[in-house]
Amino acid sequence: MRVFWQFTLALLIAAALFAWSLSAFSTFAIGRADVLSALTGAGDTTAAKIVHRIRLPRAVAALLIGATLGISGLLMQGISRNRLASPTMLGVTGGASLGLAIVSSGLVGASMPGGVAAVIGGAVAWSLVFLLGTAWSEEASRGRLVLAGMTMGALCAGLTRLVVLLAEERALGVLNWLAGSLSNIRWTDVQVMGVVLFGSFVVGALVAPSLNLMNLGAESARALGVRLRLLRLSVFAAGCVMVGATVAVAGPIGFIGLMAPNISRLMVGSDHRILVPMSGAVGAIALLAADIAARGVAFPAETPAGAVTALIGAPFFLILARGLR
Amino acid sequence: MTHAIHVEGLTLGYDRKPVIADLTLSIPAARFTALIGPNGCGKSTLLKSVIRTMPPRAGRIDVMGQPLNAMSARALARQVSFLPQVLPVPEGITVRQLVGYGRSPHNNLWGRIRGTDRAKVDEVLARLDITDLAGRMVDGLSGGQRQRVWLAMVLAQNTDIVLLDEPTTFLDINHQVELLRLARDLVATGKTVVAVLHDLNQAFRYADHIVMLRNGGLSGCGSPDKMATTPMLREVFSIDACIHPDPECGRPMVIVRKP
Ligand SMILES: Nc1ncnc2c1ncn2[C@@H]1O[C@H](COP(=O)(O)OP(=O)(O)O)[C@@H](O)[C@H]1O
Ligand SMILES: [Mg+2]
Repeated sequence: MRVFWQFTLALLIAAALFAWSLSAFSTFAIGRADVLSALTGAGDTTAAKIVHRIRLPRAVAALLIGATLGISGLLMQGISRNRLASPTMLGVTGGASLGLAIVSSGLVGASMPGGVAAVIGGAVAWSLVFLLGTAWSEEASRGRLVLAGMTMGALCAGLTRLVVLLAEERALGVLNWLAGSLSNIRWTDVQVMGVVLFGSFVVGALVAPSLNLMNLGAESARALGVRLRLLRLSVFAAGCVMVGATVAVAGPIGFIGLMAPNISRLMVGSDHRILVPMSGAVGAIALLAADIAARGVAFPAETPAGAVTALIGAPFFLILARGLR
Repeated sequence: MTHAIHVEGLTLGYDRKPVIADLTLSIPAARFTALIGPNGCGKSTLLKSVIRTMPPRAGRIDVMGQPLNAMSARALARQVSFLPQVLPVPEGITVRQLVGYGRSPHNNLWGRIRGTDRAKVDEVLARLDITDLAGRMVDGLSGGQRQRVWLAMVLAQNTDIVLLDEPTTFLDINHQVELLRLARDLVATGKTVVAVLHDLNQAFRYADHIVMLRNGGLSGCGSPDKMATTPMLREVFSIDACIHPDPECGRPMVIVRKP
């Protein structure tokens, strides 16, 4: 029952933020009537068009991307039994960004779709982090995994910058995107993210009972019938696609994948069957709020949403790391 | 079919040097087997290979006459349960939840707890006398309480074969005896229990079958009367001990000689 109210509350917050984000912080005055007419699709005014073509896809994308990141973080924390795990910390975001930067700067494989490059980049980086951090073994310490992930993240960031420098003429666009911003979202991006989020929910629902057992340690999970290799492979594959898609659509946005599952745990406990939707909801709200803040802090100029999530997320990470020792 | 577990030519190891080399061994069905041997000789490693967290380098393992490789993870989980030596502290779950997880090989893939599962959970909580802990968080329990709660989880799994890695380590003497009696009760209902024990007297008194490992492999197996000998204890533990029948029930009792 408590869980029901928490979901209701999350839904209300999301709805309120959503409505606000459609008209908030616009250089072009947008009234409530414009928003309503844009939503019903009848709007002909410039304001209504702005809402329909720019504001609406952006707000929906923020929710979808945030939810996808939240669930991806939860799945990663679940299989590595590490609350500090997240797409950024495992190097997946960095790898995906590097992959995308390489193809979009036209250096190599320019014909490859950006999303595919991002997924491959994320997969390579994540694999390396696991090799370096020996993360599958029970004895792997939290510190070692964090260290390997941080190193990989820094390495990818450096390489990405190098790639951008090498591709001067397109550098500005790539740099903008590298900061993690929702300012160039189109309806096609929303469609992609919708499909990815749907897939995330399906995978999340399928692996949730096994992740509950992983909480007891890999040995007990195995003894209780969890197919470890299949579980890890599913989460790995799904995680790479989820993070790759968000990076391709909005650039690297950090800390949502770390914060959403941990906040959800405080709210609803440790049952992954409830944590999957809750992490999605919290992630969605967090990114939408961050995007509104990103538009508001230096209005009328825009800051990237990735900067806002980092600003809030970094202290959160420190508190969490201290709490866990 | 009298063997619950049969291993043949089994070689296990973590890095280059094998921990167990070319081990051939049978565990009798519906008996209490005590696995004993010095620290680091590979007792835990052997048990882990039976639940397939430790893939063999060579050799084969049969469970109830079936090759282990041919069994699905769920089928294995319905036949073999395992209490690890090192128990993680799962965060944020209650004792009842943890014990309920023991039912997962029996419930549907979504992990729904049914009425029969709930009844089984209540039964093992009562059997281990931890009903009053049911609502507590597992991460707030003492070492001994936690060990009994984990044991309840293993019993809730209700398998024919129960593997216990050092189940008495954190228990006070009263609960140690409780556990050994519980093992006997399980055996009386036709289950096979394999437990790593460090107290030789407890092993010789309560177990039907003794498996002695030393570094690298098996030193012998058989009934307590056959295994409790001065040369065997010298070989396995490098101790000089004499064996007397215990005054209570005449089982072998180990007394270490003065140096
Ligand atoms: N995860 C591991 N990685 C490497 N070596 C290990 C690991 N676990 C155990 N060992 C080694 O394997 C040997 C057997 O260990 P174990 O089976 O735990 O012994 P026992 O349970 O009999 O005390 C020991 O020498 C130990 O150092
Ligand atoms: Mg051991």
